[in-house]
Amino acid sequence: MAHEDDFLAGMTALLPRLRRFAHGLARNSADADDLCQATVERALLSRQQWQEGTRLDSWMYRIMRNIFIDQTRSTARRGRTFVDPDEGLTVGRDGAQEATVELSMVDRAMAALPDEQREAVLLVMVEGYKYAEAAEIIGCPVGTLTSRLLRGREALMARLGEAT
Amino acid sequence: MTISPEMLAAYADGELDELNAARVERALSDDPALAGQLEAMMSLKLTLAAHYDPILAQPLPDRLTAPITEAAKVVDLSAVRAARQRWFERPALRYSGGAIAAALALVLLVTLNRGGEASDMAGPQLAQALDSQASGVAGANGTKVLLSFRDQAGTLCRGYSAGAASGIACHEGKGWKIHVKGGAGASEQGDYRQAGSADAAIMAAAQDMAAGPALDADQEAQAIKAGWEP
Repeated sequence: MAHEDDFLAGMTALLPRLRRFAHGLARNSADADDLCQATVERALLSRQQWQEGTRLDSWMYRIMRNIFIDQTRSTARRGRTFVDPDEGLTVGRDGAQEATVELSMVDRAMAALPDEQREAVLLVMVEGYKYAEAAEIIGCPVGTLTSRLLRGREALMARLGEAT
Repeated sequence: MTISPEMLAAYADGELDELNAARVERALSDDPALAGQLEAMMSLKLTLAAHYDPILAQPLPDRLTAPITEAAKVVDLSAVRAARQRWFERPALRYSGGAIAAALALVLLVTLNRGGEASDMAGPQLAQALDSQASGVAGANGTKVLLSFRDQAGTLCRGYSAGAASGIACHEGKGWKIHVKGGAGASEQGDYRQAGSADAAIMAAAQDMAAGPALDADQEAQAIKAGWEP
């Protein structure tokens, strides 16, 4: 089926951007690729729900964002403590090769943001979405998006202002 | 007028209409502090781009591309079902079914020889593909199996397209007996590629022969393992 091929080709073309978004959301690159893989698998399973003619990119960003939020919530339920970005140079849970990660200034400043501010900053300032598009991906009113974005942006400028 | 932080941010993000953008620009030229804030915002954007954009150029890990490649290979049974449904239920076809069938027969030279006379057995290459290949996967010798199903008698049959020929073969005795012969698949029709028309004709013929829905991937894997015995 032609639209099936379009769907898969569209998905492949989106992978680099989805991966960039995942790296912004997750705390390290192994988690980011886990998130990206989970997004690809979920999208393939629910491809019947994608409406042809609507934007595939918004749909996939929404899937990734929802998986990330679900994971964060279940992590919080299991009582895992938040890694303080200033001390948190050791992340990753298995103590394996990725246990020690050198976080850059940007990574630390981003990790210090609440998830809702971080996703707003990423969608608008990194992924280049319009406010209305970003709000639709998140599923919140535009006003909520812009106030999260403003707070996130101010926190980042305060942290990075001296360093950049 | 004073420019709120929201408005300056919206200006930096390109979200303002012309009128409001002009207002911000007037204020920027009068107010160095405001201009400094805008510069900080733009500089943050550049910092983020420098940090995240290199990810775009990195090679993609196999575990991200592999599921998509796999999905492209798997025969999409829902698509097969939809194709069948179209064949029977699309109003235009209902009225002109005879004409469409005649056109397909002309293009594809589909010849039904059910019943045994003048039927032939699949050659070794085709038989090997029918024995072992999953549907939807192009084999090494160019044979692609389209689907598997049971006919009214319970015999397992498979639709295929193999280079210049396509058809339906059923596993009888020790080999594959060809019941329906079709013409060239899309890839062999030269410049004018009528994608999938031969495949569609095979699907339609399979619908006529099948007792139920096509086998899914698991059922097909079992059939391959069991040597296609009914």
